[in-house]
Order: sequence, then C-alpha cells, then structure tokens
Amino acid sequence: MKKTVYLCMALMIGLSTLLLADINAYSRKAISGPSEIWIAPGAKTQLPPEIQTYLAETFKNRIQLKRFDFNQLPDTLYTKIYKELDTKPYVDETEISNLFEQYAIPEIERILNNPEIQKQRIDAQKEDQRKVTFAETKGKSQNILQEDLDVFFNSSFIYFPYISTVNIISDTSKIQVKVTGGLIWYQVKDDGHGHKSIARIKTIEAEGTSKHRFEAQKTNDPVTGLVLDKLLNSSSSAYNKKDVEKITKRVSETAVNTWCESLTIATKKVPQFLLSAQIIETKGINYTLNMGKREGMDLDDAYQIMDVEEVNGEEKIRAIGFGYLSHVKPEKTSTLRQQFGKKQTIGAYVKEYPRTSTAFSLSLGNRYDMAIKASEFDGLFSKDITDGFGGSLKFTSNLASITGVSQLFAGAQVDLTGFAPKFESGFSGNAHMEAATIFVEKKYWYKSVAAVFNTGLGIQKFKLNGTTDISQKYDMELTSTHLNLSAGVEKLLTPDISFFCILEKRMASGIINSDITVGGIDQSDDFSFSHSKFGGVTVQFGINYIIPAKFKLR
Amino acid sequence: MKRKIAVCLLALLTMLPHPSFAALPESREATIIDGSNSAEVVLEATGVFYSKKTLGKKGDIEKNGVTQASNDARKAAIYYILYNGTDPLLSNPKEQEAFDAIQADFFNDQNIKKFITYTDEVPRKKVTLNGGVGIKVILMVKVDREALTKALVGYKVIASREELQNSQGNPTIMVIPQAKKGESPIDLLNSNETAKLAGGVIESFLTSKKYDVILPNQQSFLQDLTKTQASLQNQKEDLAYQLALSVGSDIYIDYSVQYSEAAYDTEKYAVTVRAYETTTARLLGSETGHSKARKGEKFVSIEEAMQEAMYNVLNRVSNYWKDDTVNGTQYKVIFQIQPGAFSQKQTQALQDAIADTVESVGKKSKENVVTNQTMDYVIWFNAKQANQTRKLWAKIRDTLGENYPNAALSIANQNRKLLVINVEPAQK
Repeated sequence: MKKTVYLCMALMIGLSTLLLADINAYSRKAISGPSEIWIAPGAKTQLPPEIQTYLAETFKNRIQLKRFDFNQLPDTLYTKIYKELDTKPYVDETEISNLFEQYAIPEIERILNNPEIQKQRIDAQKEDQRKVTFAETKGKSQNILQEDLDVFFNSSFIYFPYISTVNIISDTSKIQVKVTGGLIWYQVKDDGHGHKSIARIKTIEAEGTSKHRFEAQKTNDPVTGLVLDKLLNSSSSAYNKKDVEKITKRVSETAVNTWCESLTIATKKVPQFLLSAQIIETKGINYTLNMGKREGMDLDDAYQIMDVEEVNGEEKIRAIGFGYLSHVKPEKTSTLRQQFGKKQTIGAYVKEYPRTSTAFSLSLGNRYDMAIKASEFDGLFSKDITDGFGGSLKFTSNLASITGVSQLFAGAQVDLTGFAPKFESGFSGNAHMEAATIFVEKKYWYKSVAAVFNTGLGIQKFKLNGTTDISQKYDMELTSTHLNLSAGVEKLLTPDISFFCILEKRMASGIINSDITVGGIDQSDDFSFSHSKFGGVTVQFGINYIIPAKFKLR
Repeated sequence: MKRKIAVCLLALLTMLPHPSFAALPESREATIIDGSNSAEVVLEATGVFYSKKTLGKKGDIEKNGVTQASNDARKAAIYYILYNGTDPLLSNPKEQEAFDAIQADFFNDQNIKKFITYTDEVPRKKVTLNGGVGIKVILMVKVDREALTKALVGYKVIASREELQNSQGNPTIMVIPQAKKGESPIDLLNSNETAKLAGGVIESFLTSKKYDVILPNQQSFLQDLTKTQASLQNQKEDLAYQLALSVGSDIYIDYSVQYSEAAYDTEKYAVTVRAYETTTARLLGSETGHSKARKGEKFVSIEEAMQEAMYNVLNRVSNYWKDDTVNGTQYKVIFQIQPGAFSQKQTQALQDAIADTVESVGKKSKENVVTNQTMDYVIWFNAKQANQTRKLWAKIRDTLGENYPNAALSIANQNRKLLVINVEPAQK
C-alpha cells in the first residue's frame, strides 16, 4: 500500500519535474512593469474605470512578490508602447518584444548601471558567503566580479500584463464577469560586451470568472456569496439597483482577483522565478533552509525536495520528497517539515511548489445520535429519527500568511443529510437537513498524517414535506443554529490530494424559526419541538483537493 | 591440526581491513581555486563515500554519508597538494617512496584535520550515486600548506628548508620588474605603482619563506651595476642578469603585470614571474598567474594573480636549490688575461693552467666562454670549506700560482656570486 502511495506521489510530482535545469539557490531578480495594464480597446469599454483602477492596483500588489526587486520604469515609456499596440488587432509577443527593445532597454541600462544599485544587489547576494579567498580575506575586497555582474545584468525581467477580453452578463437571474488576458515575461540579456537584447521567456494566459445567481442564491464565490446568501435568505426581489451595482462591483473584483491570483501562481512556476534553497541543518523531519521571509518564503508554502543523482556519468535531478514551511523567519532561515520521502541530509535542495491556498473537499458519512421526536410531529412518523446519511462540500482557505499560524484554515461548508423516517400509514414524504457552516480548522502533521481539529458555527434547516393521509400537502422547515466540534485524521496521498476521516459533534440550538404549512394553512404556532435534538454525531470519510490555478504557461 | 590453525589464521589476516587502501581518499579530485595567502591555498574538493555495510547501505548513507564524504573531500584536497598539479609537494620518486611508508597513518581523518583551516559547513553540491548506496559532495577546503610541509619534514619525507639553509647558506633572491629595452628596471620600480606593488608582494611572499630578498630600488645599485658591466664585456646584454650578478644574488626573479578588459567593464590581471639562476641566467621556472575579472581594486587583482604564480615558481626554485647545492655554491669566475702580455705559446700554457686550477679548486665546474683574453667559468665550491668568495679567490690564487708561477693575479671585481680576476705577467 505504501509503495503504491509513493508511486502515485512520485508520478504526480515527477511528471512535472523531470530533468530540471541546474539546481542552485535562488538569486534575486529585478522586475520592471507598468503601473497600468494594457486593455484591448474592445475590452476597455466593458470594464468600468474604477474596476480598471482596481485591476491595476491589485495586479501590481500581487506581482511585486518579495522575491523580486522592483524597478519602476517611467510611465511615458509604456504610454508609447501602448499607443503602438492600440493599433493592433491582437497581442503580438514579438511586436511587444521589439517595442521593449526600442524603448525600454536604454532605461533599464540606466538603472542597472547605477553603481549603488549594483553594489546593493551584489552585496545582498553575497551576504552570507563566508570569507575564504585571498580577495575576501586579506584583500578586504568589495569583490564585484565579472561573474557577479553577469548574474546581475542577466537577472532583469520585464513583464507585460494585458487584458484581451471582458465579458459581463447581467440579467434577472445572474451577474457574471469573465476576464481573459495574460502576462508576458521578457528577460533583458547582456553579453557583457555591449550587446543587449530582450528575449521572451514565458507567456501566461489566464482567465478569471465570477458569478452571482439571484434565483438559487448561490454563487461561486465560496466564502462570502454561498454562506452569506444562505444566511441572509436573499432573493432577487430583495435587490434594488444600488444592490445590483454593488454586487456587480463585487463580482468584477472577484473575477479580477482570480485572474491576478492565477497569474501570480503561474509566475512563481516560471523556472527563473522558482524559489530554491539548500538544507543547512536537519532535525528529524524538520530541515532548516538558508532562505527566509525576505526572499519571499511564506508560512505553509509547499516545496519539493530535490535529489541530484549520477546515472551512467550523467547528473539527473528529480523530486524525491515534499513538505511545507512550518516556520519562516524574517532573516535568512526557515524550516521545512517533510511530509513525503526519505529523511534528507544537509546539502540537499528544495524547490518551490507553487499552488493556491484554497482547497475543496467532498465527504460522505452517517449521522448518529439525533433525536427528532416523532411525538412532536403530530403522528407524522411512528419512530423517532435518530440517524441519517449525507455528504458535505467544503471550501477551505489557508490563513497562515495572514495570521502567522501554520496550518490554520478557515472555510465554509454545506452539507446535506437525508433521513428515512418511518411514516405512519397513509402519510408519505421526504426528510432532509441542509446546513451551512463557517469554520476554523487546525492541522498537526507528522509526516503525511495529520490530526485535524475543526470548530464552526452555522445554520441548518430540517425540511420535511409530503402528503398526509387525507392527501393534504405539508411543508415543514425548521431552522436552528449549531456549533460543530470535530476531530479527525488526514492522510496526504499526493501533495494536492488527501484522504480524511472526521468525527463531528454537532450541538444544535432549539428551533429559532419554524415554517409549517399543512394544506396551505400556516400551522407554525401549533408545533413545539423542545424535546427534539437536531444535532448529532457524524462520521465522515472524504477527499481533500487543493484547487489548482487555471492558466496556460508556454 | 597445525595446518588447520595456520589456514584459519591466514583467513583471519585476509579479513582484516587494509589500512593503506582504506585511508587513501576515494575521490582524489580537487582543483585549486585561490592562493589565499603565502601559507594557505583554497581548493574545491570532491569527496565520495560508498557504504561498506552488507545490509542497510542506504541507511548508512543517510546517517553518515555527508560526514564521510566530507572527510574524503578533505583527504582529496591534501592528496592533490601532495601528488598532483604542476608543482606537487612530493616532487620526486624518493620523496614519494618515503611518504608511502607513512601514508596510512597520515591519511587518518583526525590527522588530516590538522592541515585544514576551513571547510564548507554545507556541501555546495550533493549527488547520490549508484541508486543511493553512495554519495558525492563538493566542498571548498582551505589547506595550510606550510603546516603540511612541516609535518612532512617531521616525518623526514622531505628535507627542511632550514637544513638546506644551514648547510648552504640562505639563498638570496633579487626581484626586479621586466623592463623594455632601454628602460631601467630600477627607474620602473621607483616610478611605476603597479611594479612597486607587485615587487612588494613578491618580497612579502619570499620573506615569509625566510629567503633573503633584494629589491634593487636604490640608485646605489646602479654604481655596482656599472662596475659589473665593465667586467662583463661581450657578455649577454640582459640588464637583469647583470644586475643580479652585481648584487650577488643566487637567483633572480623578474616579473611583468598586464591587464586585459573583460566583460561588463571589468579588468583582469595576469602576472608573469620568471626565476633565473644568476650565474648562468638559466631559466629555472616561469609561471603566469591570473586574477578574477573585477571592477576596480587593481591592487587586489595584482596580488591575487601574484599569489597564484609565486607558489609554483618558488617550488621550482626550491627544487633547484635542493638539487644544485649538493655540489656546493655556484660562483661565476671570469679570468681576464691582459691583452698582448703573453705570447701565443704562453697564453695556451696559461689557459691550460687556469683550466687545471678550476678543475682542482671546485667540486664541479663548467666552462662557458674561452677566448684569447677571457675565460668564463661557473665553479661549484664546497660551502663547508668556503662561505666567502674570498676563500675561493685565495684557493685559485694559490693553486694557479703553483700551476703557472709566471702569472700574477689580481681581483678586478668581487661580490657574493662573481669573481673577476685579472691575469698579468708576474713581475720579476
């Protein structure tokens, strides 16, 4: 079983990592980009100006990752480039490259030839090098060598973000915004003898979509839309024009955020920008790395452990393990906690495994220990309802980067439990419970197994409907609040997929709202459910999957 | 029964580990990166470790692999300095044979650490070998060559410099920049900052090895030179050679510094150092050292290049000194026969007598130039008998006086390395 798991893991990791370029610790790169995003003329009319501003600011904040030094090129430079591009029917990468060569190189040269910038960046690169050679010791040299300048002058990159299309659908049933565009990365190359050029290194294409449905009160904005709409029990009629504008703005911003996040994850996957660090100390399965917050490492970031193996005289690099950053210090160290693979020794390298911080999970299980008293349902069913079967859909988001606590998650969960009450003769119907919960979750990992603890608050609705013995329709909707406490075990199968088993104790309040109609007559006041217990204990088995960012990288 | 015991004992003996094979480094790969200073050198060394366990090889590699491979890298660095490169410490078969006898003890992990002044804490590269039963690491290692040399002297593998110095006297080395034709090296030394610095680096290097160094930067040296040049008529016009003879150094070193422009407006310096035997101007060794290409910091680059060149040249000088001084100290002796003072027959007899005198006075001699007026010799004179040119002169005077009483000898020029003797008819 273990072998199969490792094989699957190796396959999942290895397929994406075969024969990588030479492994070295990451060296900082300088990036330059515009303060505004080029939007194709057709798309520009679709996006309101405030969304365009939001887009530019959000993108800039996202792309200026800590691993980069950011050099601002003058806006006038981009104005010239945009003016030329506005006449083109589509984004032409070669055309953009030529335009950058024409307009951007002199400006970048001016920045790079600044002796202060040179010294600062080269010093930062050599900060932790021990002084060994003659020049470093007796020579007390500042040591700006040709090889340092080669790295310095060839580690400048320019990015060009663009929006090619914007589609907004706004009608009585939904508001949907889809933003399509991309990001082109160029590298400034300098051979040291006066020849400079610009080469495209990667193009990323991504889209961001967001939707708000009025009728079903469902959105695909997991945290706010789904839960809040459920809680507020809103319907389309509740929305006035101002609300619609607000929702459109929120949906547009969500689409923009999704687009930006996809581009950021894709940027991290560009080989030149992948963080890599060396293991400098080992303590069991915890490894100290020679890189920290300053270089862009964040708590809970995922890393592959790499091995260089000599096979028939050739060196090959492959991923042989996996882990996450359990501690990240402001100075140049952090701790990787290994989840997969054999124990490592000092000298091994780790390479970043960029991914989103959002996961989706699906689980099924039985609920026990309920006590929905038959006596309180006026003879509808003969036996108390004590158990049911159902499933949960959960979205979680890692809060580590916000809270500074490793493996702390927050999320929203919806579950549906079906019951099979024993109806009295002549009665028929369906009984189920719908619930929505917001929760906080903490995991404690030992290798690939974690103990998971979860606590949440929510609302649930017990629904019972059918026909009476005299063919009258009845509808019952009983609303209560609840507190969930759960504990379980999670087993990582691959870096992105895990299997879990959870025991959940739900403590429900009394009924806070009841909506009972029998034969069209409201009979809510005729019922009391003081003795029924709507909570219970659930045992669930499920799969957790980290949602991949959607983009194309070429 | 006895046969069975013998067989068992033999089997037991063959099972015992062979220390000589186990102690030597597995890898033996190393490259010199930098002559850190005159005593230390920085190398990039490769260490390899294969688990020798029958079971649990991979576990052994996991637990001990990096440590053992790092030990191997240190051994590889020492091995390189002893055996490899252009100027290994064990420079001849005799020294290598002497070392073989102590090899096993010498390459013990604890002993090797005595000569290592720096090792990377974390390997720069770590490579898995043979599916995980072996490991290779690459580290930077700094080795104290001086301590290594002293240790070998202690083991009597190589002769100590002090022993040579005590028996032969301290070798004196003159250091001078290479000058263009017509240019005075003394003026160059005084006026050119680069030449001054480079000369100073060589001086520092040599004095740390306890050589006597002469840097002819005083005008007084010119007076001696003029006198020597007069004596060295019809000799080669090499000013450095003439100056070395005039100051009486055993060896002279000349050097030149060039720079070239490299990428990104950096400069790279190359220093060429050549060492010569003074008496004959024979080239003993030449080496060019290169600095890294860097921005500014010219003096750092020059010294960096010089460190690289000097060690190798000095090794060759040291080897020359070891071999040459077995025969004693070299002297250049020039006999200048007064023109027209002797008939042809008398001149021939005189020259024969001079040749016999030289052969009997020195342990070894070499005839350079013989003309009617000049006889130019290099004589190896046993240092135990004479550590001054004066005693050589006395010996020659007395011996030639016996061989050819009709000639009178007088000194035209004399210093540590040069004896110019005028030969005239004896006054009756």
